[in-house]
Amino acid sequence: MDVITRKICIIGDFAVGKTSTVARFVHNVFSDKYLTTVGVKIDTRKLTTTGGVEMKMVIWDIAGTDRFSAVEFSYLRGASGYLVVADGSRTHTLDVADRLVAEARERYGHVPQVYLLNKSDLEDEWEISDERRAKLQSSGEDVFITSAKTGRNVDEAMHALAEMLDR
Amino acid sequence: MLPTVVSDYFDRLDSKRIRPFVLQLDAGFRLQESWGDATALGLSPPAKGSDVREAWSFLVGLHLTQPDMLTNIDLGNGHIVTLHVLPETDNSFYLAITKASEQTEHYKERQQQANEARLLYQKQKKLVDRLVATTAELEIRRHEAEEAMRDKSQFLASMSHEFRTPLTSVIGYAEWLSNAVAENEPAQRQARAIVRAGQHMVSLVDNILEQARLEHTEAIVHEDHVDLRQLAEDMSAIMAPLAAEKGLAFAAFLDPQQLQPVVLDEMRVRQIMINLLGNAVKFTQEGFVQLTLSWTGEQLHVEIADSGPGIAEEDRSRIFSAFERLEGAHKRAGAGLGLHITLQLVKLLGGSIGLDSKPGEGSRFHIRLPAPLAVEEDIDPDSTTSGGRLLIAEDDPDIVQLMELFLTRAGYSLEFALNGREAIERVRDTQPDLVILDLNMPVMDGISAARKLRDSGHEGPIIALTGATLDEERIRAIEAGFDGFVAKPIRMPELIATVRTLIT
Repeated sequence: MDVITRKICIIGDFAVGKTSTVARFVHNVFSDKYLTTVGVKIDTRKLTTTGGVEMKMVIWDIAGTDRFSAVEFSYLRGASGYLVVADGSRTHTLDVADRLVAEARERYGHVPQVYLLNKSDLEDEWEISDERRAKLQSSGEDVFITSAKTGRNVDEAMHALAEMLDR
Repeated sequence: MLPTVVSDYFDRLDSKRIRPFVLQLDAGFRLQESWGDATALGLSPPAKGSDVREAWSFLVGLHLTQPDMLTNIDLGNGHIVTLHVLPETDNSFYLAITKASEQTEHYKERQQQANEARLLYQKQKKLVDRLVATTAELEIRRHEAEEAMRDKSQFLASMSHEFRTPLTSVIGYAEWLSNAVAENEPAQRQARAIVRAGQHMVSLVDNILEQARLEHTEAIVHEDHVDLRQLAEDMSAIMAPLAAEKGLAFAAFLDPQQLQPVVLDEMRVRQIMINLLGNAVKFTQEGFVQLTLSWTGEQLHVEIADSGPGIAEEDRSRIFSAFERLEGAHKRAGAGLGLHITLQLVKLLGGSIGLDSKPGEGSRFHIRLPAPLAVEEDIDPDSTTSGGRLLIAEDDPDIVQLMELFLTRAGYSLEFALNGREAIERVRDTQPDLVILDLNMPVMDGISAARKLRDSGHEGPIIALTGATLDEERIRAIEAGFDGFVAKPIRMPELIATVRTLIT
């Protein structure tokens, strides 16, 4: 069976759990220790879509930022899809995510994407309201409440993006 | 030897010492030629003619048609590299891969510290925001609680008035009847029973009001000159019949050496004694209840003893709590407030309370209250006086009639008004020696009337009558210009004594 390869960029503010999400998806591991990403880190994992297509996802884990500079824009070039991550315990990281999506879209046009509202394990500190999430969903976005720590919905979000790329 | 395009490029970058791994690719990413050592970057060299993206997936998505430089790419194999895209022709492109500079590690450390500091700041801000929100919420709750407390005080004041006004009539007329039927012993006994029941009701109302006051407001002590003989007699008059109904012996003893008045908050001392004696009578099934009053060293000693069931050691601290009732006491009437209020009242008066008791051997409460000797004028409320002209403003006809009975006998000539406005007019017309104003009247209340009288220059004494016993109302009355204050149910001797001290 042919394998199709797709470049995916994971974007979001710093410390929202992008690297942890990739580590959970690719290696099924998690560490509580926060290690900042500088530049971009590349990892890959294969999965099979419901249509039977085997897809190799080349994931570009881009250092967290609240605005893209020329360097980050160069990383985004040629991406087939975005994983847009926000920290559910910090509402403003969803504002940042929206802004990054808008910047990327302005530069490279529309690219399939899914939103991950991460850190659902921090129930007591959760800030992003159901209304805000519903508004995002009603604007047509696929939104997943995830936890890189517990693994909740991480695979589901990745598969959802893979399905979009297989269409 | 590197292709000229590539070496010129690195010359321009001033990076001559860098040893890149260079690939020449066609438009389909097929490898044409390569220079350098791929393994130094942890990469296996791809085969010539193959699509390099199949071996090196990090090249997927790369655009070869325009010059580009992608820095700090962590390949996940332990190497961080920079990609340099150098197009030569439409079908010939150079891709150079170099190791990232050593500065990358330093930059990473600095970025780590900066991000950690920002995270910490955000967490602190979140905590501060939460604290501010919680403080604001607490402030709202406090405000609501204060409002509820004000409503409660207002309700209690109204309730107090509603109870006290009719009780004034009940007790006052029963006292009058008791004197009027002196020659008919059974009738007199029945009249005294009405007086006692009325007084008991007053003490119940007092307990509830006192509880609210002690819990939520600054209670004020009202010191009077107290005749201990009278106090002991009054307690006896209230309690002996109640004890007799249960077949208990009741005795009140007063140290015969102490016949001079002392300074005490009489209302509260009465309340303390009624609460303790009431409990003693309530819980004692046979035997005796006994009150002993003595005075030494500027202190009043009150001892209340009974032959009741006694109180176990472990229950002693509990019985002074609000609404606390011991097992077996549940069939008894009452709210469980008596001892709690008693303890608070004793503390309010600066005294102390103790209890000696054993189960089956009765109880003995002993109280010490500061009570300096009073230097008092001798006032006999029953004696007639040279009199004076009094104006009484009171809207309750029963109370008007009652005051008329007592004050006329005491030698005063009276005139009446039904409200504050009428009182002001009559004061202007007849200039009475003393004015008595009920605080709660239609058309114009007593406080407003007193204020207007004082504003118009009236200097004669004014006494307030009120059903409310809250300290705030006393304070308002004093501020409005009242000289005296008599609480309902009006004890006629007290009213007469107050009048006498103001007009001599």
